[in-house]
Amino acid sequence: MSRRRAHEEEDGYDRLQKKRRRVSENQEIEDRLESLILRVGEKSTSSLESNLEGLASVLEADLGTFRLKILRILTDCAIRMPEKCTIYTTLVGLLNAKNYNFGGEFVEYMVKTFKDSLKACKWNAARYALRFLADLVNCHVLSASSLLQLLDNMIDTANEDNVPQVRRDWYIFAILSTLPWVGRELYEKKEAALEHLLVSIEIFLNKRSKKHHNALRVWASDTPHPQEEYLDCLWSQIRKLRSDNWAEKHIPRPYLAFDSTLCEALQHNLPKIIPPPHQDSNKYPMPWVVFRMFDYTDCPEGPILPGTHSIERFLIEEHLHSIIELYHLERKDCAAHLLNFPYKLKIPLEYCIVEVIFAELFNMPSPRFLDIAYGAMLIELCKLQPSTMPQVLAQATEILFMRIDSMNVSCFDRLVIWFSYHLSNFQFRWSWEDWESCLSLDSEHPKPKFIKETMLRCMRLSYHQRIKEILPANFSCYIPEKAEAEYKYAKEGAAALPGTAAAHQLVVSFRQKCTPEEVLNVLKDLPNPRPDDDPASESRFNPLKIDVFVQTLLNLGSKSFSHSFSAISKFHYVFKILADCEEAQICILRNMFELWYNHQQMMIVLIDKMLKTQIVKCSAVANWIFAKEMCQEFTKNYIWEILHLTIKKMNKHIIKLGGELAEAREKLARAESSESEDEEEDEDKKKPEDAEKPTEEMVERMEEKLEAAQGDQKNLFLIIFQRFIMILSEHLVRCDTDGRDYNTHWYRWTIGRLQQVFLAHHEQVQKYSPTLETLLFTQDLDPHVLEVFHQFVSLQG
Amino acid sequence: MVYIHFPANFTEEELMLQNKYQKLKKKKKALQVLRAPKPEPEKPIIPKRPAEARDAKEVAKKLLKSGVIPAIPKQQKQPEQGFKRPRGLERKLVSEKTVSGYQPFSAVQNEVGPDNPENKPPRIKNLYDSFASARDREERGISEKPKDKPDKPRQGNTIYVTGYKITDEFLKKHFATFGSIVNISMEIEKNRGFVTFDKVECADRAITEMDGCMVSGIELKVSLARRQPQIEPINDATSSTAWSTVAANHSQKGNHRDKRELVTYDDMFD
Repeated sequence: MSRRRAHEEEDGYDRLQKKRRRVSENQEIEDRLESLILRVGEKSTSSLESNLEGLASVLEADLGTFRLKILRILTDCAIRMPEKCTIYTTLVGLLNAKNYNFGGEFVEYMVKTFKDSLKACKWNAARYALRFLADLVNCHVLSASSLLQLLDNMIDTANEDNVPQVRRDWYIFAILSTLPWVGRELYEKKEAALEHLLVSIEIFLNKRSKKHHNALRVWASDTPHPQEEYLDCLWSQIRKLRSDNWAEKHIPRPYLAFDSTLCEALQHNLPKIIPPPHQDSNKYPMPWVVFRMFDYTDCPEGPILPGTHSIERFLIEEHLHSIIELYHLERKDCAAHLLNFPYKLKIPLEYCIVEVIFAELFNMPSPRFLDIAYGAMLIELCKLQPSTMPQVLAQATEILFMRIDSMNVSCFDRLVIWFSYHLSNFQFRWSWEDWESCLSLDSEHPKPKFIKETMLRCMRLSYHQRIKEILPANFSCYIPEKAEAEYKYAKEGAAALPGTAAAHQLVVSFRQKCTPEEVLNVLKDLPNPRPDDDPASESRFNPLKIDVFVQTLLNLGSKSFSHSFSAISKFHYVFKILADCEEAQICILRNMFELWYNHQQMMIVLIDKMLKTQIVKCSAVANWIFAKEMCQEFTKNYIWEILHLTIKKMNKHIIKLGGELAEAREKLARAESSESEDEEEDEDKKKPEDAEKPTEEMVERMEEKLEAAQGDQKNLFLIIFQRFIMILSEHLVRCDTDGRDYNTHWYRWTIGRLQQVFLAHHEQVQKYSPTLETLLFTQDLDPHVLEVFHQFVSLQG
Repeated sequence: MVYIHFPANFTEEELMLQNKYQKLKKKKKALQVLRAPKPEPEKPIIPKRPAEARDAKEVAKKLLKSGVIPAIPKQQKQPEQGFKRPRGLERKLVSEKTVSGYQPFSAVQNEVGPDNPENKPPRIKNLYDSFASARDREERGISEKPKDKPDKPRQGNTIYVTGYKITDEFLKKHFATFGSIVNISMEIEKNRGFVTFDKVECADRAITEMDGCMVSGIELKVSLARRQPQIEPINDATSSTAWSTVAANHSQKGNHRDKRELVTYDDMFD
């Protein structure tokens, strides 16, 4: 395309036409080649082997003209379609047998891709490139010894000192995940060297710290299925593979059919590859815990689910994960491709899919994609396979509910969100009677809490009257209150309240479309109930004025979110005048709560709005959540939804300011360098840059703004963690003196929420971990609380 | 490189085929319109050829037994099968509930392909064709795993009820006595509904006892629904069946009717 455009200006019409024809002819052939290469291995009327043979001959004939194009397509396929790795390695093997030079060029190209991916921190691409190179050993394109040399170099990289563990882990993971492909070949040809490699890996794994493991688990308990750290799990799978003499049953190996052709080909040696050194800006994949919820006993008769430590389980899961990654934006395609899994007859596919989707949904610290994506995927799967999928999903739900006692708080939240969403798409049907045993449990127990929170969430997707109907009669305690405003100034006995007269006056004024100043006028005579309101103190405010104003205004806007929003923005000025200090802002939140305590979603959106319009500060929200009067609400999900949205708002602000500053700095630097370098450059090119060029002063001001915001952010985290430490320590000490067990439901919820704050915002909290360590998480703290901090620190260590 | 040039005009035969295709398309549409609103959950796709082969075989056996036709020497079986298939296919197209969007390619092609690679010079055109056909099929999405189920005497747990102005409450009230109802889906405007019970026996009883009855002044016609969401429990999660029936329904919206009363507010912040 670009080539063509470049010529257009200089060429005459005739020449252009001629060229266009030639280019488009070539283009056509190229497109055909590309399509053929892309499609090889898909279902076809003839065998894969004959297709590969045919394609190899076609490509060989075209190598002269389209060499570069073919190289590029093949490499792209290797990276983008890792599931077809062995098909493409066979193709390259056949080409290498026909044309040794091309084989060499391909290896060179692939090595370059591998190195570039490492440099660009494209870890999966790098892993696929490595796997491809390894599989080329099977196709007699590369020598086994040169691959082992590369793997040894990677082991050396993993054993470097003073680099993050996540980097070292990745190199080991990359080697291990390559072995299912090439293990057998290495075992046959270089057994001693392979053993040496494995011993080095074992030594590495034994020395490795796994403090993060507990923080990333979905379930605290290891029964019935152990929740293993990913490297440990893969290592066990590889060991099992080794004890099976490296024979696996999952990977198709088309090159076996061409053994006689391939073994005559000459092999290349890999050049020496040294992985690029660590940079502080590099981001490495986070560790994870392998999620397991099914074993073969959960599945009905038929194909057997491979065991936890069989390499097939790893290969199946990896493949399913990559399908999800590829199609997560298209739920219908995604469901279709998942159900069309190539080995579907050999495994209980529905179980594998459900387990993998829940593994993604529950991934700690956060799922790869929006939780709604997984919910939508599951619904499509149910529609596409209605005879089995809904049943497997119902069984999964039962299992998840059964094991919810030891479930991580973040996953508990996600399970509530998914289940309510799924119910809302399935006419809210569920056999609640099976869960009757919950009725006798403490209401803070995770099981009854799950039902309660699910109902609250269903309220957002439906309405009170409907929700009332879906539960059996004896479950009435789980039906949420009707989400209505409780306006105290219109209730019986309101006359005795000090603000009633003003409130009624205010309603009249609002009806007459008054201005903010008039509102202040109505409120001006309300007495200040705070006796000790020292005029000299910083926090001067009148709680009665705030009470009357906030409750009356929000009540009048109660029709919808948008009515409330427009009420807030219309009288923004009044909010600012009445509440300029944090304490007054907490007072606003308190009054909002008094009016709306039955409507959680309303409170969430109102706080979001007030944060956005800067009526309340983030720190005010945090302090309000931890205040004594909120202890009734403390373990409810929506409170934490509010806290996380508050932290997120702060973080986003910081990221935005940081981005702006970086951009301005870059512009400034560019402008300066272009000025000094060539002043004679043509005028029109320079002008627009000059106009945009920020002054030093502007940059400085931005720096100050960012610093101030970072101060706020640090303050916010300090407040939150300090309050956590206070309430948790208090609880632990009190239990100790009273001789009670500290491990109550409340304690588990609270410590779980602390963990959640660390994990969900780990990227931002990380910056302050030295401060947190010196100021808050000191050695004299209770070890239970300290443990949470240490887990967090080891996450990216 | 060899390029095949296609003439601009269609041959007679092509035109004839085109016309035929259009007609078939119309028929297919008409059929779909006719059947569309009903749940059609899991239609086990029986592999076409084997089933037909068996059909043909059965017919042939009978004919042989009755002495209508003499036994044919074995070699002739192949062409005869090939000859008969179109007729079978035609019957399939007419008799099938919904016309499936595609048919697997005939096995004849398969036999030539892989077994003698000499047959297949590695020309782009050929390769391309063999890939493309399969791919198109795949892209349409996947249907249920084919299940070989011979025709049992028709039974199922979903019944079809018609009656003037019946509602889902009406059905719930009068059919709950026969067993627990997993799902009701209504076509209010057509005065009919489908009731799914958890057990086949309940459905049977409901049909025998209610068909032709007058209930609350409404005459009911009750029969087995033509489409039976076949749900065989594969585990003991009790909600399985409920979710399965909902999933099997084409309309996901269900039959819920909002019974709330209108609430009015003072609109002051519009």
